[in-house]
This record gives sequence, C-alpha cells and structure tokens, in this order.
Amino acid sequence: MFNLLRSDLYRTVRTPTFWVFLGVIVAMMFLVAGMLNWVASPEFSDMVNDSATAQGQPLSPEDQAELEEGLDEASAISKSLDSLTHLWAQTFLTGGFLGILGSAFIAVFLVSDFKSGFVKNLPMDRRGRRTYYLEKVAYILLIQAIFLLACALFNTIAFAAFGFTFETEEPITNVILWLGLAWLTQCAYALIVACLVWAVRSDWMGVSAALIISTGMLGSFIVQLLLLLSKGLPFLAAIPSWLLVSATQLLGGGGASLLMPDANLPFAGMLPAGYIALVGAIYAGASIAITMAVLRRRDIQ
Amino acid sequence: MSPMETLAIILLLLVCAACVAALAFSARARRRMARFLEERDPASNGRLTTDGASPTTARLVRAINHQLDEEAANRRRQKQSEREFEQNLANLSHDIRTPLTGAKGYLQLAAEEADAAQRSAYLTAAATRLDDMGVLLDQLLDYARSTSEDALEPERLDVLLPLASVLAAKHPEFLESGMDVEVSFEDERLVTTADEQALRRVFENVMENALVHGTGVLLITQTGSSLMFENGLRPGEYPDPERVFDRFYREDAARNRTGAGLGLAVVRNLAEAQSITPNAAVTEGAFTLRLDFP
Amino acid sequence: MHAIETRALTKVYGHKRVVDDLDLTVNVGDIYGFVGKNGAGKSTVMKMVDSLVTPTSGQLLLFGSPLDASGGTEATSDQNGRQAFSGSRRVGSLIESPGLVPGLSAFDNLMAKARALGIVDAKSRCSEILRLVGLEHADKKHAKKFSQGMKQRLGIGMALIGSPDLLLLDEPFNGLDPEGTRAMRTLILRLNQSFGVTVMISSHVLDQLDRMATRYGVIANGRMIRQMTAEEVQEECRESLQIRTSDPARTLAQLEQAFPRARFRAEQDGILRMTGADDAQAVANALHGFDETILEFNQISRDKEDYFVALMEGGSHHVQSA
Repeated sequence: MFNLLRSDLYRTVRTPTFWVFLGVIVAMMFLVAGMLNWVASPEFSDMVNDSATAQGQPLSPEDQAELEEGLDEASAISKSLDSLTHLWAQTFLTGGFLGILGSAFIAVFLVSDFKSGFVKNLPMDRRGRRTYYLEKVAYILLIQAIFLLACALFNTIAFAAFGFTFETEEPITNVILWLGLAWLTQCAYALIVACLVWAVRSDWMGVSAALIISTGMLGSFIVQLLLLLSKGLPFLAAIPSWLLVSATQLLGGGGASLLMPDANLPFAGMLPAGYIALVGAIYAGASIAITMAVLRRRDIQ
Repeated sequence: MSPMETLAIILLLLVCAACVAALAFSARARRRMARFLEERDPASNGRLTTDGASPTTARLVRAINHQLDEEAANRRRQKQSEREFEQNLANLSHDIRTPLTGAKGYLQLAAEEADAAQRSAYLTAAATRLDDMGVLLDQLLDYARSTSEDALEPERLDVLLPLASVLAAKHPEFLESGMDVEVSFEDERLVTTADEQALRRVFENVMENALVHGTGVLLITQTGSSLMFENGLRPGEYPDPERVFDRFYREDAARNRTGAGLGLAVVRNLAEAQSITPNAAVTEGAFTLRLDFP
Repeated sequence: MHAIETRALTKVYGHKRVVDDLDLTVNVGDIYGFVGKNGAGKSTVMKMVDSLVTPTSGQLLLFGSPLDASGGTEATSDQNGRQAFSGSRRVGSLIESPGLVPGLSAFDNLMAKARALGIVDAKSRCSEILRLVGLEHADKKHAKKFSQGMKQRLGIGMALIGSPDLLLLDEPFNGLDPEGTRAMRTLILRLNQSFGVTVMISSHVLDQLDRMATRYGVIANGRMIRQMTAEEVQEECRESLQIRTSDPARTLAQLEQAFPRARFRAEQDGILRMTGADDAQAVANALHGFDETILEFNQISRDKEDYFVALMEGGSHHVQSA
C-alpha cells in the first residue's frame, strides 16, 4: 500500500493541479484578510459616511456624531477576532471553501486514474483491488489534512500580517480538537464524493458533486426540505441533526464551543465534540464500507 | 488530569503504536520476501519488490535481485552454448557420414564392376574416404584427450628443441605445399616448464593450421618468452581471431576440406593447461598466432 | 503448466454474450496469435486475463493458479501446504489504449508505475526501459504530446517494467510505421526467445502475426473457433490437390490406401481435396493406375489470409479440419 501511496504522491507533486490548488488557498486567505482589513480601515468608514450623506438628506450633527462613533467602534471590533479556531471556521470551513477544494481535487485525481487508463497498469486481482481502494482512502485522508493545514496556516499568517488580534487566547488542546474534527468531517465529505466518482467515473460530475455536497449546499437543502415536511411527518424532524452538514455547522463556533454541552443534540448531555466525531465517523465509515463491498468489484474497461 | 497531560499521553500512545506497526511491517516484508523466493518459478523474470521498506531492506532486495539476474544470464548462456554444441555435433555427424556414404557407394560400384582396373580404382577411392573419416575421428579423440589435464608431466625444458624437431618432421609437407619457413630467434634458448609431448602436439597443430589455411612464408619468431607464428592468408580466408580457438570453428571456406575445426581448440586446451597463453590476430592478409610462455 | 488456461469462460453484458463458453490454452513460451474480427471479443478476453474484468462464469487459470470469481487469485495450497503465489503479478499488458498519465513525461509515467510496483532502483530501471523501447531521447516530453507510435512504445515499456513472464498485447501494431512495427516485432521475439516471456497478441491483421506466432486461436462472436499451431496452419494452407473422378468414393478409398499420410476432404460436386501429398506427379500416376476417368486434377494453393478470414467469419463449417 505504501508503494501505491508513493506513486500517487509522485504524480501529485509532478502535475500542476496540486500546486494550483495550494496557490488558490494562499491567495484566498490573503484576499479575505485583505478585504476584512480594508473594511476595518478608516477609509472604509469614511466611504460609508460619504455615501450615506450623499444619498439622503444631510444628517444632523448628533446623528453624524453617532454614526462616526458607531463606525469607529465597529472598526475597533472587527480588527479583533474572536479566537483562532473561530476565525478558521468562519473563513474556510462553514463557507465550504475547504470543502469544495478538498473534494474537487480528489474527484479529479480519482477519475484521472480511470480516464487515462493508468489503473490498467496496476495489479487488479482481488488483493490488488483491496490495496488500491484502501490506499486511495488513505490518500484522501492525507490530502484533506494537507489542505486543512494549509488553510489554517496561511489564514493565520495572512491575518497576522494585516495586524488582526485575537480576543481569547485559545488553549492548544482546543485547537487540536477543532482541527481533528474539522479533518474528520472534511474527510467524510471527500469520501462521499469519492464513492460517487468511483460509481460514475466522470470528472465533471465529481466536481459538481464536490460543489453541492461538500460545501454543505445539498445538506442545507435537505434540512430545509425535511423541516418543511416535518410539519406533516413529525419524525422527519429528527433527521437533520444526523446530517453531516449539521455537524459541520457546529464547528463554526470554534474550539471553545465544542466542549460545552448542547441541549439540542440527539443524546442529552452529549458534547458537541463527541457528536461531531460520531456523525463524521458514520459517514466516513459508510463510504469506506460501500467502496470496499461494492465499488471495488466494478469492471475496469 | 490537565489537557496537556491528556495530550502527552495520547502522543505517547501514538508513538508506541507507530513502533509496533513498524515492527509488524518489517516482519511482514521479510515474510513476503521469503515466500517469493520459495515459490518462484526458477525461470521466471519476476524480481523482488518492496513495500515501504527501510534502506537496509532495499539493499538486501537489490542484492537478491542481482543474484537472480546473474542466475538468469547464466542459464541463458548455457542454453545458448548447448544450442551451439548441438549444432556442432550435427555438423560433425554430417562430416563423418559423408565419407562413410561415399565409401559405401564406391564399394557398391566396385561389387558391380567387371573391369578389374576400374574396380581397384573404386576400392582405392573407398579406402581414401575411410581414411578421411579416420582423420576426423582422430581429431575428435585428440580433442577429448586435450581437455583432460591428467596426462601432463611438466619438466623444465628448452622450448626451441621440440619446435625444431617438429619443424624437421613437417618439412616435407611444407615443401609439398610450396610454403617456406623462416625462423628468427632472439635468444638461443627459451626455457620453461612444460610437458614435452603436449608441446610437440601444440606446435604440430599450429603448423598444420598454417599449412591448411596459409600461404607464402611461415615466419616463426621468438622474442623474450613469446613465440610468434605468422603466415600469409590464402585468398578467401577470413578467420575471426576471437574465435579461431573455439572448438568446431571453421570459416565457411574450410568446410569443404576434411577437418573438424578442432586443431586450434586442442592448442588452446593444451596451452592453457600449462599456463601458456595463446593469442591470435589478423592484420592485412596475415595471420599471427602467439604463444606466451610463463 | 499452461501460462493461460480458460474453461468455459463467459462474459455477459446485459443480454449480449460477449464471450461465450471459451476454452483457450496458451503454453509457456508460446507466441499466441489471437485472431478475430473487431468486436469478436478479443479485448474482453484479454481484460479478463488481466483481472480488469470479472468473468460471468467459467474458470481462468494463470500459470496454474485459478482466478476466483471476484477477479482475484485464490491462494491455493500445493501438496506441501504452501500457498501458491499470485500469478497475476507476472503479467504485463497493453490493452486498447496505453494507460499513460497525460500530464507526465515518459520518464515520470514509468516512475509512477515503478513506484507503485515497489521496484527498487526505480530510476535506473526506468532509464533502461526507455532505452529498450527507443524513447531515451523523449524522456522529458509530456505524454500528451506524443505521437501514436511513441505512445504505443511507452505503453509497451509500461508493460515490461515489472519484468513480466506473460505479456498481453492488444493490437500492438496499431499506429506504428513500418520501422516501428519491425522494432516491435524484434523486441517481442527477443523477449520470447531470450527471456522466455510468453506473449499473447491479438490482432486482426495477419501479416504481422504470421512471422511471429507459434500458435493461433481464432475467435468469432465470442466463441473459440479453432486453436492450432503454426505448423498446422502451414499444413492447411499448403498446396492441395483438387481431384474429380467419375467415382469419387472409390477413388477416395484407393487414394487413402495409396497415400496413408495424406489427408482428404470430400467436398461438394464430387470434388476430393487432398493435402499432404508430397508429389502431385505421384498422385497423378496413381490415379492413372486406378483406371479411373479423371475429370479434374488441379493444384490449388490457399492463401493464409483467406483461410483465417473464413475462420473469423465464424463459419467453422466452411473450413473443417480434414
């Protein structure tokens, strides 16, 4: 299995796709940091000020003072962030940025094996297929970790470069916990996309799947649908909390919220951390099981 | 327990797990290698591979594969030389069968022939054919003997003496063929340790070779501890100096003559058995055979 | 031991029996010419041998070990209780398109496979292979810029990098110019003769197989029509005598007596086809001796290509063995 992993990594670093994705991450992190920095800057508040005065009747001096005060306050606040993990969550997790990057990359990579026919070169007897699919699972986990760490790293650097500070000093265990759970959920998404891609073997379908599934779009849609239908069928209301998207949303609160009991969770008194781990493990496990049981047996044309 | 302690314990457990895993993998690799070597088909081209192995294991694998490659190359060489040998044997049997068939034919003709003079001509022809066959078989026997080193009795002697003796014996043949012999010795003597009979045989075969394939003058030179035999080549003779000492080697032009192509092979066998190094070279229509004495 | 042996091998896609009850044998050291029209099922059979496609039913054995139903090689135990090693690791293949990663250079493609197989000294092995297939100067070029011929060569290189004992080549001469074809043929012959590699080549062009194959298998509509050795093909296509007399039955009996080693086929219109007779003159003389009225006496020689085409059409009734 290590051989195949080495081979895949060799291919990964020697084709431009991987580096382009990393470049996108770096660029995006700096872009977001830069934008927020500008929003927090005096120039921005002046701009808002001017546009406000330009639009309507001139403000009274009291209103004017109030507005300026409000803006100053806002800029002071926006330069100070909640916590490290909160920043991370808001920047690239809940929005689905990491989701789509991680899953799209995997979709393209997995399909290329079949599209180019490279897979025909590998031993595909029973033992060979087992090794192949297990190794791909390992590869997926590895790539998600790399992308996650890259996002976290460049996010931190970018925001620090623009002079943002953090309100709370976050304990390292929280950071590690958050990273671990984020990694688990992203892996679950990527594995779901992988299953789809192995079933369908088309790269545009894989990328589309990455787009709607791993960003949480599909999940949110299903939640809305279920909530609507639960008016008539009450038991459906229990399902949303078992969807991956709900688990991901919980991570949006940052590391601190993970260890505080939440009454909304399926099991009373369960920690969000445990809940996220459980849901992530279920989806990841199911994907792996489907892969090994069913998808592994498909013919290679 | 504080979070830091929990973390430390988790890390420690992970490190332990990693060590155990490494050991398990190492054992698995060795098992794989052993199984591969036990079960492989000796003729298979497959070679050992590794799976995430340490540099030491890679070194071992490389060494084993190298051995396997050598083994395969040896097997190929052996098959090749077996093929060649079989081919040579077939040729030899043809060469023996031809005079035999000829003799039989002549005998049949003789039996049916009424005229006494013609009959005796046929009988003579048959006898000649049988003599040719005898020559071939003698050469074969000669060769077989030359491959065994048992009969050699080395003694210190002066090489030039048996050389002169053989020259004298072969003189009539040289006269008959119209070849001249020239001798040029740097020293009076060339002393070495060798078996006299074997040495004589070597010189006989070298001169025989010159008589059959050469023309013009046979120049025998001695310099230091080397003897050189140089003669012009007849037109149409293109011997390959690398292969002249190979058994059954005959340039195609020679195929029509009787001779198994073993003469110089005998020379090599006998020479090398006494630490004498034979060499051949071809330059511009001249063939040079050199014997380096120890 | 056979290199490949199939028994009643079948592959069904939907309602179509793409491979139907196929019995095929390739001996170790053969160059097996697998002949059939396009769509006859050649590629599917080779894919099954290569474990890419799972057979619907039937047995497939590689070097004596069976591939189990899920496309793997069972670990079978021999009498010592040891487990036989996987035969599929000894196979290298080039089936349909060569599986090249377009974004990588020739060298990198080979390296990717070398790494995946766990070959030590991967770099030197890859250089060696590039030299072997004549691509040493193109090693840095990206595979997507290769011509068809170069892709084929790299494909062969990929098949060979694992030092296989069995080579499966599906239409390997596709897209090669005459020089490339000759180089490919020389390579295959060398691999077979010096390294003992068993080769199975599928083609619908007989010309190229003619000079290499030691055995042939003809497939039509998924069924095996005939397997025969190159000598047998030679025999079948040798010159035959077409004889027609006033009493074919009697003539046949008499000829069979007179020429026990020859083979006869009674065709329609009272025509007797005789193959394996050394000398047409002798046959003619014999016929005169039988006191038969000879209506027709022709020497026919059959084209190998026609022979195979007739077989490929699926008509085993057209060309029966005598």
